[in-house]
Amino acid sequence: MGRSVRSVIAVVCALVALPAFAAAQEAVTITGRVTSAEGGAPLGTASVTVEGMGSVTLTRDDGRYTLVVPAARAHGQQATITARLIGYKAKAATITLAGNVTQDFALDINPLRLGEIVVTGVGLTSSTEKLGTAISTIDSTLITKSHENNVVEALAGKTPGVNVTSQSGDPGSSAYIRIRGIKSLSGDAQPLFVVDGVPIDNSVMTAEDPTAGVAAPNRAADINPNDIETVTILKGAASAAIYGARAADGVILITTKSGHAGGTHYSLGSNYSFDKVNRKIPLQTAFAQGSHGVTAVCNAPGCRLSSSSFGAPITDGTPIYNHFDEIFETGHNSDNTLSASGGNDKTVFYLSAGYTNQSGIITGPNDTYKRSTIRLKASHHLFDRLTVGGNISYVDGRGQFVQKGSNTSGLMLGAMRTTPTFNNKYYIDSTTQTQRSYRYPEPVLFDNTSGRGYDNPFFVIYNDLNTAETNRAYGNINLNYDATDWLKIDYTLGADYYNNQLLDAQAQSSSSFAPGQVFRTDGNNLQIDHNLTATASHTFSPSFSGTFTLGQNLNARRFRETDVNGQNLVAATPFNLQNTTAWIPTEFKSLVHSESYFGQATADLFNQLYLTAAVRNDGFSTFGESNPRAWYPKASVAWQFTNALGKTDQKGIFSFGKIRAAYGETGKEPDVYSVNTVDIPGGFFGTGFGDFLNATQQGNGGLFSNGRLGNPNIKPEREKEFETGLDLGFLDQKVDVALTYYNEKSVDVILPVPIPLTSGFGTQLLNGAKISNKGYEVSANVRPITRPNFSWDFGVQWSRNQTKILDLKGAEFVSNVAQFGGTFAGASGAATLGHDIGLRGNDFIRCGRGLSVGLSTDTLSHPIDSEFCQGKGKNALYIDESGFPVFDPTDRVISDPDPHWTGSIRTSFHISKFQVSALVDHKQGGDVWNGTRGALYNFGAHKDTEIRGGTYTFGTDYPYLKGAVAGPGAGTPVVIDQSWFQGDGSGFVGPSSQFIEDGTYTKLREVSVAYTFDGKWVPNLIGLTSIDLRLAGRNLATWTKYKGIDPETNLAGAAFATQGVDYFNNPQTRSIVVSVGLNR
Amino acid sequence: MKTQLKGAICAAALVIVAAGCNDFLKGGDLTKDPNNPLDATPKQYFASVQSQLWTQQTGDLARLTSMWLQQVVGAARQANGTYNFTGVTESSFDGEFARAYQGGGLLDLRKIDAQVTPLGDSIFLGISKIVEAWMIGVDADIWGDIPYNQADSFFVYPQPILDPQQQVYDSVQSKLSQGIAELESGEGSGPEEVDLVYGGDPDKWIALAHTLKARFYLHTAEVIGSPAYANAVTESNLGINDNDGDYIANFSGSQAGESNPWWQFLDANGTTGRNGDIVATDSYLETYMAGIHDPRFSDYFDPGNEDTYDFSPVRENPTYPQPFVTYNENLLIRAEGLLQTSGAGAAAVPLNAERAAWATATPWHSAFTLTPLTATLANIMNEKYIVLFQNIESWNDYKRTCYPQIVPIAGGVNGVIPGRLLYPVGERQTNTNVPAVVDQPARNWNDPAPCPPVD
Repeated sequence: MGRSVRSVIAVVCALVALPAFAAAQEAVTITGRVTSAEGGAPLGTASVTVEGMGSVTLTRDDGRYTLVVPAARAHGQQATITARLIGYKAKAATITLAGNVTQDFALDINPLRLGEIVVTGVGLTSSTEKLGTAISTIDSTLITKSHENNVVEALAGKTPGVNVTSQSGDPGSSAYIRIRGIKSLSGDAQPLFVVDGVPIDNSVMTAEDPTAGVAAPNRAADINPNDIETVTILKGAASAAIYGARAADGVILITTKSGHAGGTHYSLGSNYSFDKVNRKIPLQTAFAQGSHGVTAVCNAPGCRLSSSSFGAPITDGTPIYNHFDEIFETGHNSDNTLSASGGNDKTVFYLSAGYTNQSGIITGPNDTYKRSTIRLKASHHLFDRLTVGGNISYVDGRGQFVQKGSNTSGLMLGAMRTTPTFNNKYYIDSTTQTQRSYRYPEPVLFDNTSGRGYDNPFFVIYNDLNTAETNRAYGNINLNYDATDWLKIDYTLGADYYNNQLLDAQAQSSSSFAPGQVFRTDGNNLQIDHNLTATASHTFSPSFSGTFTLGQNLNARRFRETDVNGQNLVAATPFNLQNTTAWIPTEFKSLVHSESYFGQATADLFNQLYLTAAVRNDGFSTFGESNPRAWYPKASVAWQFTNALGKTDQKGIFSFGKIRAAYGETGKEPDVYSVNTVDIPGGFFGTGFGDFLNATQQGNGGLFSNGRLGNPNIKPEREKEFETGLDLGFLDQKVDVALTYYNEKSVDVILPVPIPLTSGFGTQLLNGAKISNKGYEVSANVRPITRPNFSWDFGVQWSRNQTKILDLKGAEFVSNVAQFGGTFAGASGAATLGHDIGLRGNDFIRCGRGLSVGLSTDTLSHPIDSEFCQGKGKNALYIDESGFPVFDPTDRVISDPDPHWTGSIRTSFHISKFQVSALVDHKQGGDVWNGTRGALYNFGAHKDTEIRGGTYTFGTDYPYLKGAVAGPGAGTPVVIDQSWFQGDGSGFVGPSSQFIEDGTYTKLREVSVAYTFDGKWVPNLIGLTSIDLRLAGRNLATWTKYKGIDPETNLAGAAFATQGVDYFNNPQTRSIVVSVGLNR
Repeated sequence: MKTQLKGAICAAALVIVAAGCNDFLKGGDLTKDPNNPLDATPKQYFASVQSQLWTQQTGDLARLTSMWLQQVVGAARQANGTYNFTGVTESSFDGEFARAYQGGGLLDLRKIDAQVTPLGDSIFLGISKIVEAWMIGVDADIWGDIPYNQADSFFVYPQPILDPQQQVYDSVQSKLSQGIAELESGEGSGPEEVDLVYGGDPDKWIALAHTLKARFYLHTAEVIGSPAYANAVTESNLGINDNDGDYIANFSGSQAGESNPWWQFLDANGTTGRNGDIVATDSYLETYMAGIHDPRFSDYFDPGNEDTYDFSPVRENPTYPQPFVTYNENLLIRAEGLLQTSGAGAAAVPLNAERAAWATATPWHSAFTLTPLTATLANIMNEKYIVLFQNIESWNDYKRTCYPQIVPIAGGVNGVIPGRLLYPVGERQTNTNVPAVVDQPARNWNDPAPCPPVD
């Protein structure tokens, strides 16, 4: 029987197997849905992979996916299929590749992102649980939900230790980011931005001084936020050391979206916003233009009237204009991004086109910014072990802006100073067809060449022209070669090029330059980056594995800028150089090369202890000859101690614990050409009040020595940081907490050390300053309800950084216009020993400062501390015999713009297909100089000046200078009138300290309600897979005691490290955003 | 092996570096600033020196003096703070103090000296010394004891000591004498056409140097007395002897940076946006000249002109040639000197020669017929106050003679117009030789007595 039995069995087997073989003749289609285990919400953009087959696809927004395994490869075998999504634990299932397979996944959330891969450097990645430092990753959802055009602004409130300040609500304005305090005293202190492994430029280019002119973006704003997959922030030296001498201020690693194999996925995201001014400046409406109670009257054309509104009370029935509201309207921003992505097992692509069209809140047609972006990212498996990839982005940015700031042709300056009874809207005189303003209400005929004192804001809006046109291309090509199973080689060659054309034009009769002028700036920037890394990895035993990476980086940065100020317009328009009669040209170019090598080794021990050590060696052309190269080491350890306790399943009350510690060093290269000792540039001699004489007169070329003594031995600054922290999970990971402490010290900080003026130089560049930053960062997330169809979670984060300048090479402070630009005489930017970078200026005479005064009774000097201040409290305001406080001419620190702490709370609800989320952001402390208020006191235009003529007592009921008082006149009532508001109570004359305000704010930064339509009717009716609808609010509410516009502001934006300056800044906005997402 | 490795790396780097590895971090635009010249010729330095001198003479110091001496009124903003003395702090005048020392001042004058000395260009050297003495003398007038002997030698004297004001004045006199001696040798070609005032004419520079010597002798007269007046007379006799020798700035007005800084600041056209900050309306000088029916009034003021805030359009003009040192001043120095040494009779001669000189128009004024005056100190100094409109020298005259008899605005500082400015904070913070604000004297060595209150 033997043989026949075997035959029968064979036949039976064949019969049984037949259907399987038959089925194998066809491709296998796997469909399914990926949802959240806790809540049941569909999960879009999750990747689903058939392991070992190269078949990958992404879920659509309804969580559904379809994978096709080609017939040739499917023969009924078992296969592992895995679903992965950032923020969730990957889940695998075993399926049989036959017929149509349905496989759904319910993914558990992974709040600590354990096991996820994050980019930590060029060619370097790490799994999150192995990280020895606090590296924050912000994913695309959070970026998109912020509805910000500028990726930097979108980072606000998202992660502790990272503070973002938006310049203003102007379209295309910049956002300033500061990570863990200020490390350096030069440059703009902005982090290095790296997109897909290639550094890009994030500078701010303006045609005029950034305190005037128009808002300009930080160039990272050229990135379409919708193209971003993740933003990873390397906050300090401990994590950023691998970027060496460019990483002192941290590194922002941006990874753009990639395509995945599978069906082509289309998505159209459209947003439309309604933007309004969020906070206003209060103006007085009770007193007329004039002086000392006498109203100014224009008796004849050509009259020039008082700049102040200290006239008689406005009589009833006189029309009063709201000079704030009249210049603003509802702005709009429409933002559309269409993307297509997909591919097959060999080639994947992501293609997107975006168009943002913003029309700002300033009335009229000249407040716009339009950004068009296209992006293609693709990769192809050329051979089995070799992948080539590339990506390119092209950006076209065009804006029209309105003049701002410290500028008699600035919008707010003229508008806010205007007397309440003057009708600004009638800005062109009907008789003479020329500009009329409140100081020059009746222009004489043909007078287009005299200034108006301050420009009429409507003239500024409609008659001046300020434009920016940016064209930028950036991207890279890359090769990934898996030489062997253990050796991987990555090569990236990237480039970033942009050309920026700026025009600022002030029409004839502009108060800043009455004959009319244009500023033309052409700048271009090219950066090329070459990066080669090789990584070897080996598993020695189950409890010991490691990697070793070696890399080389070459980088070249070329910058060119040409500026021409053309003066005296011949015809009223066009605003171009040939229509002007005198030209002031400036050219600047620079070239920087760097050549660096780096290595990193990691060791994973017993699945719980993770060690990393790395070093980078940098050579920069900006380093001095005696210090041509610098080393930057780092080392970190992370111990997942719950694993040591045997709790590897992340369950239970105490479900996860990791302790980490790291040390690292980064650097900051010297500014280009710091090595040149004395330049002989020529130029002009000015007084700071606008008048100046050129060195060259009547064609005789003049050259003179620069005031800065360079240093041929300059070396890079060095930041040394120790960081330690804990990452904890509780209650089956329903609660997670992360704590970080860091202690950073910057040494060799380059500063132009002030040297005696009588040396002939103002400063000498030296490596000498020391700065310390210490801080804590805390974040906690709680997910109390995680039921299907209903979930609620919230998170809080808090951080505190303390900056202290420890050494300024002997100086008490450094105040240097070029360095701490964007500030003013009287409230000037400076770094002061024992403080942070802040403002210096004058204060009133106060107790506790060892000051002396004179009295009318004798000619002696009276020390106030012993004679008047006993028991009056520290810093009590000295009141002289007349009852007024007294100006103290000593220059001192008056503001600290850095917050004491920052925090945010976010929450989100999810009920079925509804999602509600909110983010509240708080900044505690951080001074802002309200120069606007100070100036408006002087002009009697501020609401506060309505108390004029009243009798008040300092220390008792005078409302604008509070606190304890001391001195012979304490308690003496005084009349507060024009002479006070234009004297010591004025922002121009009096101490600036009285206009330093607490910039504390709480903001409802983001709030949104969303609904996803993914019912059967969606595909059936319109052929889409899902439709997302969202209604969102941006900055809907701001709570602050600041007396003016939003305290989140800075006149010069991100152009300088000096922050907290408000001088007729254009206001911020709050927005309602409607967005629709169509997915297929 | 090492070479091979380097070769391999360079090969990889060739993608972006055509030049080869050795040059990747050095050379060309990488290490040498391509944007600025690294050296200049004496004439190029001199062009800057001239502009720096003109800025010193027409900038913030001139505005301060004119406001404190009430030739003009600080009506608004910072100028108002200066006018009523409240806005003047130790950080107000860093730039003005530094001019004499920095590029365009001593720093570049020393470079001129070093370059022209081997060439034997005594004319250039002489002119350079005169400008040095003049600029440093202005700082000594205002700040008193100042660094001079150790100034501009950072690597030798990182913290220069303050030389006593008297010693600085001695150095100024000797520098001027050296300058005269160099010029008298007649060797070399000097700055030629770059000197927009004298065209490098040695005789004019010699005369200017003598008048400056006379001027600086007067600055010591309050303390030294007769010998100083006698020296001033002697030097005045050798000084500028007609209006052709006036040192008057020559502004082309073709663009902002070649226009009279007074005009730039005041400009009714609003180029700088400072218009209305300083006005002439109802200044003491305007009232005074109107009161004595001075025929020159129309050259100075235009009451009711809302465009110019009462300045005369003659003065408020981009090309107005601002007089710094003139034949007229030289005569009035002589008049004051003679009055103090030889009496009113002798003093009347230069005083009325000065008055008579007005009959001929010069680039800086129209022709006016003035009546002779008796040579009283009041008459001499009030005449000089008019002549030195917008000139820093008015403050020195006032400190010495207390003319014109003006009441300090808003009570001045402790009842008087200050005799000096505080050392600038930029110097105080960096030079330990500079005393703290509270330890600084209220007045300088040459001016011990404040002016008594005016009835």
